[in-house]
Amino acid sequence: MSLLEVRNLEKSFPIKGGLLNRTVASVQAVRDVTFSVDSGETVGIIGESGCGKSTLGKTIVGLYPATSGTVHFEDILTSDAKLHRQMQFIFQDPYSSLNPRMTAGQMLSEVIRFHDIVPPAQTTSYVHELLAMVQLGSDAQYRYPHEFSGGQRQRLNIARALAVKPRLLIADEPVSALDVSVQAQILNLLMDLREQLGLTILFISHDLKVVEHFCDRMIVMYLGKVVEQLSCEDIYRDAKHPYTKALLKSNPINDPDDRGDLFILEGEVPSPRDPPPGCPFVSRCEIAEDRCRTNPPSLVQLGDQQQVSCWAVTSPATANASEG
Amino acid sequence: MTDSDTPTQTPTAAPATSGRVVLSVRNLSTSFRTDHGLATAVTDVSFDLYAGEALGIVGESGCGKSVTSKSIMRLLPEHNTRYGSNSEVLLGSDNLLKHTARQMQEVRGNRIGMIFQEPMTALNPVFTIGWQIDEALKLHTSLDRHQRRQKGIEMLKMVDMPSAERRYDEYPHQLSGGMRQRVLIAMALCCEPEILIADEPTTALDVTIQAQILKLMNELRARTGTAVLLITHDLGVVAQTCDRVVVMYAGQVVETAGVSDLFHRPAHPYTSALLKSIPQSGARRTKGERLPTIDGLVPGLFEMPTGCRFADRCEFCEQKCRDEQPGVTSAQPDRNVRCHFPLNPDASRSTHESA
Repeated sequence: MSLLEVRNLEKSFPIKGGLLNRTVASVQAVRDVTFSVDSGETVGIIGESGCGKSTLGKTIVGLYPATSGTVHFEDILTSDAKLHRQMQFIFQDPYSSLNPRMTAGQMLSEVIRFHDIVPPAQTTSYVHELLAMVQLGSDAQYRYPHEFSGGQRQRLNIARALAVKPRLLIADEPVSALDVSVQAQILNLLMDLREQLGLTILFISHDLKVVEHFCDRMIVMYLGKVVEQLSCEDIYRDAKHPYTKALLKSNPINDPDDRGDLFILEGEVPSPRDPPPGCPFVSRCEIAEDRCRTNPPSLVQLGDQQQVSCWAVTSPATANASEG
Repeated sequence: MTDSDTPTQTPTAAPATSGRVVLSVRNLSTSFRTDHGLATAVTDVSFDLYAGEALGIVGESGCGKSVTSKSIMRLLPEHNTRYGSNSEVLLGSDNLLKHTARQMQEVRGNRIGMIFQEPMTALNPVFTIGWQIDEALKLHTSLDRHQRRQKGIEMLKMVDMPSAERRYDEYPHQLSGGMRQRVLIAMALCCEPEILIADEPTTALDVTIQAQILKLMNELRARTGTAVLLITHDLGVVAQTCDRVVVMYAGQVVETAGVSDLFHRPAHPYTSALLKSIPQSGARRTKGERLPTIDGLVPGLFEMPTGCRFADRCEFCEQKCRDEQPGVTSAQPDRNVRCHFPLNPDASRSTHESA
């Protein structure tokens, strides 16, 4: 049974305007997203800014109420408050997500007391245990956020998320604000913790290299929709959707002798206020056909691990006539 | 005007296509007066920029790469910035550090163009982009109003701005991030400068837009022959665009090398460690492996060690490294390294196991 089951999840934000501040339009940030995550799996959600990946993460964890659709955690709807301890969120900016007026120790013990994780007498030793888990010394408990470096702050964020012994960690760009050498430290830490604690991780990122390195499977989003799901085993071989392929080729490789031509995807992402009626990617797609403009393709299962939402991949041109 | 005897060794790296030096930075040290004393952000930085080449300056945050570029352009606040007494930034025979504010105006935007990281904050939100391009042309050229408009639109077309005539009269908020960066490039290049300084030009952009901008910059460089100084933390961007690379650490240049040498045969332990800490994708992917990391932290501005600044984090550190500051040595004509025990260029081939 899968640990997390997201079904037809939608999230739109109203745009207020006019004299009476009525809702004049809406931004459809997440559109009809369905996927599941098995226990112990690490799944990456990748896409460019504005594709809805952060909104998806926040909706799953309950920070935003869903417009429609459901999220189940082990068959329990996530609106159930009991689940707050099972799922934790790590934010992108390690500084702004920490209270500048509380020491690390205060922050951690607040969480521990609120959720009643350990008997009050053991709070301090549990704080030490948590700090050790993220490789911060126990003297860190007396320090304020501004006394930590970026990487240490992110360690503290991870410790705070792990304080309630969650089973699912949703990490929203946890390393993108960090320098590469620090990024490597945090990725190693997350890998160790994943193994020690049997964590399931939903890893939201725009960095293909990091997702490929860290995740078992990736979900590629574009304009609020999932366009492809595939195993990270060999993405260069497996990628089918034209957008995934474009992302792979746009990613600058760390090898000056392998310069090639950076693949250029023309144009920009359309506004999520007014997404195209057919395939979300149609305006930038090289192989777009007429049916792509009018009929949105749906995710089709290809093999064990892969789902693709593209007419050209799932029903090549000859089937066009029968589409209607 | 300037003393020509330079006390420390200066790199005289010549690229394979050894051309004319257009910008020469000599022993640049930049300090700031702060409440805690004098903070030296950049120490003894020297490099040359050749005509038509793309030179990358790489390093992690706080290594002094942006201070270096802003020192060249003299964009740092004059009241608390101090340059070293033997520091020189030579544009031709002029030392920019000795220029008056008025002389600098002649240089900025005219002989050296600059692109900044945040395309939104670098543009003035209350003027049209046409007005902003026009400003530079008005100052540096003798074109009349009509010709300037023509030139502005032509520049927007050159950077592949869709419907350039219409966009010329639009405001920055009406453009997307990628289009704003194109406007900045058009502004920087409109007076045909010899040098373009790009400070993290694609960091705020998505990968597909980043690829568009990098390709545009490569094309423009090929067409106009402008030398590009690209400041970035992204080694992938360097690998894809630069001819030579300057690696900075804690305010110093630690290595200067051709791009291929740097990636395949790094000589400085920091460069090598930095390259290894990046997840690799594709054929060399590091999937699921633990990444080698660089332990410890960059030393603070007020607690720089007496010896090598990388000593505490270096896996090859020896006593000499702690006692004595290494100078810049040049093993080959086109590469320099600041290390007592540089990695053997041939033995360190194994940065990535080439399959």
